[in-house]
This record gives sequence, C-alpha cells and structure tokens, in this order.
Amino acid sequence: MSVDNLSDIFTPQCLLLEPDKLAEYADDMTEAEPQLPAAVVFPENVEQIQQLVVMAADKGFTLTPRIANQNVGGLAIASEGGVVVDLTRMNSVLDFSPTDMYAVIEPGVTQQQMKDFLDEKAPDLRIGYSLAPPDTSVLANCIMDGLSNFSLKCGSMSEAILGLEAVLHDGTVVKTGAWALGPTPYGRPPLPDLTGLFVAWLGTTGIVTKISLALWPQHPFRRRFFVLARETSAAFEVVRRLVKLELLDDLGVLSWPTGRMMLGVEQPHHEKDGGEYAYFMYLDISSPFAEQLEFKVQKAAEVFNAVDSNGGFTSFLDLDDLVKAMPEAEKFREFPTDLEFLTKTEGGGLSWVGTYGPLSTIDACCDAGMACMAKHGFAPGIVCRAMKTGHYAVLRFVELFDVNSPEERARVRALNLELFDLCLEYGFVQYKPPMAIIPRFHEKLQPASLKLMKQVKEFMDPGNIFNPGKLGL
Amino acid sequence: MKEVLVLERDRINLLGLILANFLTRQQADGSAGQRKRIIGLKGTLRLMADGMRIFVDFADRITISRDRPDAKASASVTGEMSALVGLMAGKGWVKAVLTGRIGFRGNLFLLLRLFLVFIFGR
Repeated sequence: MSVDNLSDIFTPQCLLLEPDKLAEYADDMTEAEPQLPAAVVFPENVEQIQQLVVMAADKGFTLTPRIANQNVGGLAIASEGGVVVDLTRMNSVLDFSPTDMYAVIEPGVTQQQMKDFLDEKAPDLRIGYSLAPPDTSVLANCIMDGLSNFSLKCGSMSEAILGLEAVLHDGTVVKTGAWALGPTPYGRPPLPDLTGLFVAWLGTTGIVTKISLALWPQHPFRRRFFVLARETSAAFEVVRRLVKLELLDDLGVLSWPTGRMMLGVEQPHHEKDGGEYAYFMYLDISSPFAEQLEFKVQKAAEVFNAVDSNGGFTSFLDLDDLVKAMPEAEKFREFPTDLEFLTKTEGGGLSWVGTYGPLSTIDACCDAGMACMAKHGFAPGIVCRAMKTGHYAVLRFVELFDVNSPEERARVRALNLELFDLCLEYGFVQYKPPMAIIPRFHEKLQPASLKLMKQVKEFMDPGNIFNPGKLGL
Repeated sequence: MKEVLVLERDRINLLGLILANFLTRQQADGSAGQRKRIIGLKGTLRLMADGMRIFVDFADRITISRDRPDAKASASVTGEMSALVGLMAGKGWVKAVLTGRIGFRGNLFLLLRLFLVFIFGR
C-alpha cells in the first residue's frame, strides 16, 4: 500500500501527510479505538475523487469519507494504512428549485449553511435539522439514515434524498433516481431505486458526491412547548395518540437526566429525585394560519388531558417563557443548534445506542434500557422522537464519559453491547452501527440478508477500498 | 454577590437546578436593585411544584438542597410547574396567585422579597 502518489492528484494545500497533523483525524468522541490514517486528502471536485478512487484501487489503499466526524460511532476512523477523504471543501449548493422544492448539495454543506441559504433564498421552505452541531454535514446525515426535527413528517433523513450522485469503485460517476434519466432530480420513482445502494452503507459502496435534498413548506405561525411527564406509559400513550392526529411537526421525549445535563450537571446520579418528573416532552406545532395553530394547540392539550388529568403531566410550558426562566432552554429555540452539554463536556466522551423501532413496544424498551443503564452506573439519558407519522420512532440511550480513560471506554462498550441486544428484543434496530457491535449485528441478522449484503458489497467494491470494516462486510 | 451552593448537585431535581441558575444569573446580569433584593433574602424556604420539592436556605450564601422531612422552613411556596416558570419569567403571576396555581404561607417578609426577585427577573 502506498500513498506516495497522492501528490499527483492533490496540491500540498489539499494533502496532509505529517503525523502530528494526521493525529487530529485518528479518533472521534466515542469509545472507538483510534487509528492514525496514512494521509488525509481534501478533494475540491468530483474529478479528483474519481482519480483518487482509481489510484486507491491500483495501489491498494482504502478510503474513509469524513466531514464533521460527528457520527457517534467511530465510522469516520480510517483502517490501518488508509486515507481519510475530508469532503468539507466540497460545500456548495449547486442547484435549487423553490417550485419543485429541492436543493442539490455537496457533502460539505453544513446544517447551518443550509439554514442560512434557505433563510435568504426561500424563507417559506425548510429542511429537517438533526441535534448534531450546526457544522455537521446535511448529506452525511441523509446517507447514514440519521434523523431530524422534521422526522415526524418525513421519516429518517434518507427519505429526504430525491436522488444522488456517487463515484463507484472504478471511478465512474453514477446518478440515481429520476435524475439518472432526466434533468430534474425531483424524486426516486419510477426507476429501480439505486439510491438504496448508498444509504446506510456507511460509505462502504462508493463516495456520494451530491444529493438532491427535499425541501418542505415552512409555515409562518409556529410554537414550541415542553410538557413534563411522570410515567413512561402515559408519555408514550400521548405520543401514539398525537401522531395519528397529524397536528405536530416534531414530537420528542427526553428523560430526566437529559434535563439535568442541559442545566450543567455533566454526570447526573442514576437515580431520580423523589417526585421528579421522568420525562420532558417537546412539541413543535406550525400552521399557515394563526387560527389553525391555536386550534392545533388546543387539540394537542386535550390529548394530554384525555390520557391523564390527575397530575401525570404539567400544563404546556411555552418555550418563550421557559427561556426567560431558564436561558439554557434557548438551545431548543432554533435549529440547527449546538447542544454543548452533550458534545463539549469535560470528559469529552459521548456515545449512544441509537435505534429505530415500533411505537408499540417503545415503553417497555425504554424502561428496560433505562434500568440497564442504571445497573451499569450511568444516568439513563434517553432521547426519543416519533417518526414518519408514528410508523416508527427513534430511541437513543446517551452516555457521557471520560474519553481518555480506558476503563470508562470499556464500561461504555459493555453497556452498549447489552443495550444493543436488549433493544433488539423489542424490535429496535441500531442505526449507524459502530464497529464494536458489528459481530453481534451479523449474529442476529437473517442469514439470507447478510449473504445478500455481502454480495452487494462485493459487487459494489470488489477491491474493498471503501471504508472497510464498517458493517463488517 | 451571594454564592449559590447546590448540595448533591448530581442528585438535585430540575426545580432546584432551575432556581439555582436563576438566582446566579440574576446576580450576574441583573440590576443593582435586583442584587440588593437577593442579598436581602433571609430565612428558609420549601419550594414545591407538581410533586418536586426543594429546600432553600437564604443566609450568607444561598444553599439549595433536596428536601428533608425534618427540615423546618420559615416559608413555603407551592405551585404548578408552569405557573412557577411563568413567575420566573415575570409573566402571569397575579393571575396565578389569584387562581390558586401558586400558593404561599409563612414568613411574609421573605415571601415578598422573593416574589419581587421573580417579578423583576430578566
């Protein structure tokens, strides 16, 4: 394996080879083991990526795409002798249609950049923003099946991909969706859906260089509320009822340690205080009409009362009031946002088991997962969101830890493995699976599915140059 | 400025954390009058909201702790969480008191000063 010829493609300003600079690219905030890459390249156009892929296949080095390194799974850590492909410099919005409601974006376009772009060009349109920091890539979140604050309507962010462009193992460029045939990337139908060959494959089948991203109407009248909930079952019963009424843009449930973390307690005790509410629920409501907005608020409140009118929930806490009493809640006013209480902690470590699963079993999974976290001595910080009108939900178990402590990393690994197994019992499947759980993943996968995935990987990447090891294929 | 000390910070409930942050911020960013009002708070308070309880000791410093059954408070404030948040946001407090969403008893001098701190909060 030799990376000596990279300077044939990349200028010195677009190539890192010095070990001290490479060290910045060796790890992330999770418990994943660090690995120093052999080089880091910064492509500025698709042609350079095509040349790079051809060279990698020829010289036998591997390629790991990376942008903000916020995947919380060690997925942008290169394999030994591999090259990190930093795509931050490919950061343009290349095409935009307010009529057809899409934008064609490059990998380096960040959440904040997209927000600023839409605020300026089309304030009546929006995308969904994840809870990752503003400098996180929109494209990466989409192709890795992440979620957003609009997932209640659109599902995981991969469902916002209307078509994409990718560089294949032989350096050719492919387009998917209707874009493969016509000039307008309006959607994935009606051709065979090749987009799926690049979604949730964690960069193991090719390098995605553009996506056409769905935009959605942004209504002018909007309110955001918090409600505190005492019991798991009542909280999720409200969720199940509300999703069917289609009143909301976003509906989330956070457990009590998350609230404490927001107020500056980095390592909350794993037991809650007597009388303390177990969950924060947050509701985003919007409408094109002021009267309709108030109607929606009223109807949503009625659902809470119908489920429990005897102290199981507080009344609606308007975010504006909450921010005045508790400025820390400002973080939830506008997305994208930087939840520094999670991403910039003293210990520096953040990990989670993030799963998608059915709303029918979320209560039981939530209770069992929280008990498991407490057993391991972690405060049971969970974040849930109803997705795709309630067809499924995200359930994440969040752990903060000291990233420099080998013991802490081992504790987190052990907990995550247990949570992975536990979640699966309730039908909750981990997305963006980190390397450590891959053997378990393979054990549990239906053999025919695993075989087909291996065949697809072999077909798409015969030289195994794309992010090897991730997904373990 | 009075130090605001939270005992067992990793175990205190949300109500305690919100109050601690509120009092700290009012002294750091509030007016001279607001700082004076906070310095003038003397006594012990039990604060209860929708089942959450905390105990606050206003002395040379302000100590916020988890409630203890044996702790004797000179005043108490009880209310719905949303009404207390509204009070700290300086909004709707008259209505909340009149409709019973916020109730109080005990040392009126402490309660009056405390309500003024809330009402003049920013």
